[in-house]
Amino acid sequence: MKTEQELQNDIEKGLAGDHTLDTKAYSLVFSALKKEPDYHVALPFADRIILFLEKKEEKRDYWWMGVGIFLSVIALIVTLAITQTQWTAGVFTFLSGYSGLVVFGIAFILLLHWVDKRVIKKHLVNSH
Amino acid sequence: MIDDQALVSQILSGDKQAFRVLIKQNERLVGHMVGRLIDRHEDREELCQDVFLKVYEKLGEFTFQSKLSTWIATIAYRHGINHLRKRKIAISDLPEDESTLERFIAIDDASETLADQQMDTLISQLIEKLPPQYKAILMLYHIQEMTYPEIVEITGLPEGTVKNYLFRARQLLKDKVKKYLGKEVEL
Repeated sequence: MKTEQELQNDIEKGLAGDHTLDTKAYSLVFSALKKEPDYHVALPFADRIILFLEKKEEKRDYWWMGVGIFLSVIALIVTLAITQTQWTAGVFTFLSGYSGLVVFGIAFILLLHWVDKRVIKKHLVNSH
Repeated sequence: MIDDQALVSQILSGDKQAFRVLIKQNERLVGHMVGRLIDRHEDREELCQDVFLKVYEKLGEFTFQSKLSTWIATIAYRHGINHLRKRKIAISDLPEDESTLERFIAIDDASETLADQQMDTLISQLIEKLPPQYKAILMLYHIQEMTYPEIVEITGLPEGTVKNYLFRARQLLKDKVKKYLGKEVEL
């Protein structure tokens, strides 16, 4: 009489073996074990993960931008303190003659940032 | 199909579409692993997502010592086991507890004959009642067709234990099925 291990080995190798109840039961078990479980991930699963990662990276970008602004302010304060800058309205009087240029400069920098974020980076990702 | 090395290097260079390919290639494996380990349906989807986020985070540490799918299965398995431990759910109480074995076989007295399809359903239900580690090993071996060394790497269990779990799980299922078949023969 075959041991349980021998019976399992025979069924796994596809050997018909004898027609005992054990053999038939093992055949049914091995056949059922090949069937995939019912559970599958929901269909837009990959999309949701990619979206989650993009949002996470976007948050990280803004965090680093905040850190950059904060450090810039600190650097400015330290510079002003070291150089002992005297604040007078005269420092900014030269700007009054070029207010249009200053506004254009700020708007242009913001536009460049927007184009970089919305168009160039998206295009680079989609081109892969 | 892109090979593991090319796919990983594309993902590491920031290519999200390459990561989408990785998810598509491995979502069945991760889904099956989590599905076998975790009973609560509402936890499964979240856990699968966590597994892939972990894969993305740790991909730079992958050393190509094994197949990428084996490495991902390892992360899925450990994530699932940690989840069970947090919820204080036993992961392999069968070997130490012989009475569980007897209880398992005694569940639901067979009172009627079953068609083959019903028998398949019955066996699937019996598989669901096995401890999580047994279910995971059965799935890796029979559905994913992984080798013993691969299962050892994924589960961190010794090869002897893996073989023993596989043997005992099959025997346990066979004994239960035999009970039903016995009833049929009597009729």
